[in-house]
Amino acid sequence: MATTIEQSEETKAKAEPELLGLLAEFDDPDALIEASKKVRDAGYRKWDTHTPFPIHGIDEAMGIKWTILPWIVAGCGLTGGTIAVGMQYWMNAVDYPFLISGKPLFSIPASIPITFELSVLLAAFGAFLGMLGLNQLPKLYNPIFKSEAFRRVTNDRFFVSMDAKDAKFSEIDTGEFLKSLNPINVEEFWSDTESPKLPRNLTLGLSLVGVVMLLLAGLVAYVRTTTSPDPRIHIIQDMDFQPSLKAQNTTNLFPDGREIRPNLKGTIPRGQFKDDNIPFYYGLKYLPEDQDVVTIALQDEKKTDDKKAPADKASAEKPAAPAAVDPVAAKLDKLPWVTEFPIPVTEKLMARGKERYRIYCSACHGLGGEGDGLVSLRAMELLQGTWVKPASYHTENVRKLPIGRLYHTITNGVRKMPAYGSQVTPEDRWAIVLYLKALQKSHQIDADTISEAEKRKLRDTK
Amino acid sequence: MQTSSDTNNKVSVQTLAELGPLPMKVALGCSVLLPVAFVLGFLMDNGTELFAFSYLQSTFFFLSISLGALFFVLIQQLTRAGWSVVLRRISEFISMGVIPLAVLVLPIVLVTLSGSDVLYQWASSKNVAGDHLLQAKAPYLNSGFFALRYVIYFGSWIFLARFFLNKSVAQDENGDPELTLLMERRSGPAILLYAFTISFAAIDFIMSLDAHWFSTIFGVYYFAAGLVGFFSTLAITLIYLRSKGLLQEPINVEHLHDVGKLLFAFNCFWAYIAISQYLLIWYANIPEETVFFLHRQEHGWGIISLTLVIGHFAIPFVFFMSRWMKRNPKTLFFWAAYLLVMNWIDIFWLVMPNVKSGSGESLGVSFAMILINICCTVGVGGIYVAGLLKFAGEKSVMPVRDPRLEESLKFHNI
Repeated sequence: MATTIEQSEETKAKAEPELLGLLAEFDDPDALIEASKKVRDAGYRKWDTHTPFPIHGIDEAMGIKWTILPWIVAGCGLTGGTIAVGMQYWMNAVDYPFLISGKPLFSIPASIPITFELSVLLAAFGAFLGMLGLNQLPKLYNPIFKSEAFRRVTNDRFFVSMDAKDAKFSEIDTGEFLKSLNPINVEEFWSDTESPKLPRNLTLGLSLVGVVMLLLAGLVAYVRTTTSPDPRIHIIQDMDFQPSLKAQNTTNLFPDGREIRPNLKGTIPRGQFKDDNIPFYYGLKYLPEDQDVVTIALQDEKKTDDKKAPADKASAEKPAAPAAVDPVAAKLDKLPWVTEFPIPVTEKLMARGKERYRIYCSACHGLGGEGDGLVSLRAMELLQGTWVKPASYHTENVRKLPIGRLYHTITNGVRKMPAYGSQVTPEDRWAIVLYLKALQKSHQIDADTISEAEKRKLRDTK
Repeated sequence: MQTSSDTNNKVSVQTLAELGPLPMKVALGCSVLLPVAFVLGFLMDNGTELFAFSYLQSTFFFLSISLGALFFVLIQQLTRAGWSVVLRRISEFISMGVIPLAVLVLPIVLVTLSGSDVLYQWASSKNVAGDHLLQAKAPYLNSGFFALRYVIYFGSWIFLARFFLNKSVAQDENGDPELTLLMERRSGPAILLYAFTISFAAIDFIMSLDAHWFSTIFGVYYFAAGLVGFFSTLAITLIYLRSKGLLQEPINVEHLHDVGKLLFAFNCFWAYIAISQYLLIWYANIPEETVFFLHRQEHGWGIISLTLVIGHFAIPFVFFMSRWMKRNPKTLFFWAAYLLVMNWIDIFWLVMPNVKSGSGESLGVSFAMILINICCTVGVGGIYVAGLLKFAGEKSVMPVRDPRLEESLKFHNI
């Protein structure tokens, strides 16, 4: 009972076999050519010949029209050329005009190589894919392969195959006609009755492969969209990797072993010439005869700082005392500091000074300049022994200092305060000095000089 | 008409003598124009210079054809080509043109040896003394070494052309396949010798006209030009001979198709080399290099330069690509003749812009220049063709007992 049910299911799946065509077998290329001429003259259109090797003259014998492939290739080549010219015009002359060695933005000679390459590339694609397409390739299976006799087509037999779809085709007439060509054999070939079904294991395997490939793509997508502490994998070593020397290292490239080259004697680096505007760059009205006095003074100051750190702490508390003791401070006091700003004082400069002050100075000196910056407060809290509380700007001592001296302090530092000259440009330093003066003034204002409205505003502002 | 002694392939032996005495008479008649050009040179302004340069242009135009033929013969032997056997003898005849040209080029060498700077600035010691660059180049560019190199170049070419023709003709008599093997073995070293000699000859005779300028690809440029000239000449000759009943059976449309393909391919090769030379100079924009193309944009030379770009490449590229054009003897003849004219213009463009008047100014394109040049070309061509006919003589127009003849006769394009 069970078997009959199975059989009936099988017969349902099976389609009626259909006659696909006739196959005539020859054992001689000349006989094939003669037969081809007759088939051609009989008016058949859908038929083919099969040979183990190319036969000269078979094209004419079969009446095959010249292929349209050259036109496809020409079309593709022209398309490539057009794309190349258009792309180069768009990129070089429209989208990103960039002048290279005085050539025109779009010039024909420069475009020739790309145009040539792209034309050839697309022509080659056209030739390859066009050939595949016109030959209806790739074709993995053909019912004609089921013929035992047809296997010798790759060795020593020559075949004519007549397609049943041809308008002139009829099983009996065409068969008689083929027999009249004196083949050694004529046979029919039929369509498959079983639907080609892939084996289950193959389906499973292919699905697995598909999933694995998706996983890979997913991994790539995941890595592309997330951050990672590891440096990315550089398939192409771009400008991250340079053969240049790392800063502050030694090298055997130069005899002195230094990797950073010192300035040549008697030269001034570009943009480093300062003596044309002494007030602006030094904060001095004129340079003292002993030009190094500024830097020497600073170095001496540092030495004394290092030696007498505790004493310094005391000096910070009693500013009047060290001035008398320290010869360097005395020397600095005598320098001709400027008292007028060497650049125009504007609202803009003040705003700039406020911004720079808040970036560089307020951490220690506090927003109001009272020496109560967050760093300072924290150091006090931790009871750091070596910490020197930054000076308040609003003491009599600091207020009396000429602006040149303030500028000098920012540039070269004082006591524990480091030099900011290398990080803050001279103009910004003057801006900070300006803001500092404004801060000082804001603490010394006479209540009588401000109006009622201003007083009210001050009271309301927190 | 005789028949070959080899009974296996009953090929009739034909010779150019069957054309009758007319071609020789016409060629000798044409050669009269050479003295005419000489006389014209005396009558016109700057005529001496025009004639000297025209003479150089004419000889090197025909030399390029013969050297192209020599290359074709060598490469067929080197690649053991079978298809080309039927048309190889004609190529060997054309390559023998180096012998009359060796004689024709001799006056140029003699004039240079005498220290005249009509053609070459560097030949005159007065010019060299006042020019730093010429002094630097003097170890190479001096008339003594120049004459020595002339002997080496033409000696090599005559040796190669005679060797390959004589061995091939000897095979007509005895049918010895060893001769084919010998020629194949010799073709390798021969092609090396050929490559160096043609490259340096082009540099010496044409490039050094402008002694300040240099291009490392120039030798290849002249080679490419010569192959276009040769394949044009070959196609014209074959179609002409077939129309006269010679080689009608052995050479069919398949062979003509292949000659057409080679002509088309080497025309593209010429364009490729020309643009390579131009592009590098254009990009680098170095004054001592760009001067070559600057000369060729002024005084009417710009039109000739454009003619080469469009006429030598663009037009034939579009029309001559077609299979039908190459398989039809009439259209093939037309395009071959057209490209031969273009090749002539190409050599004209290489040589003639260097003409300077006695006072040292560059001359533009003029009627006098073209007239003298055409007279000169036809005159030199007459002597050249007469020489070729003389060397062809009673020899067969086809290697009748070449071992690959059968293959060549049955040659068929897919």
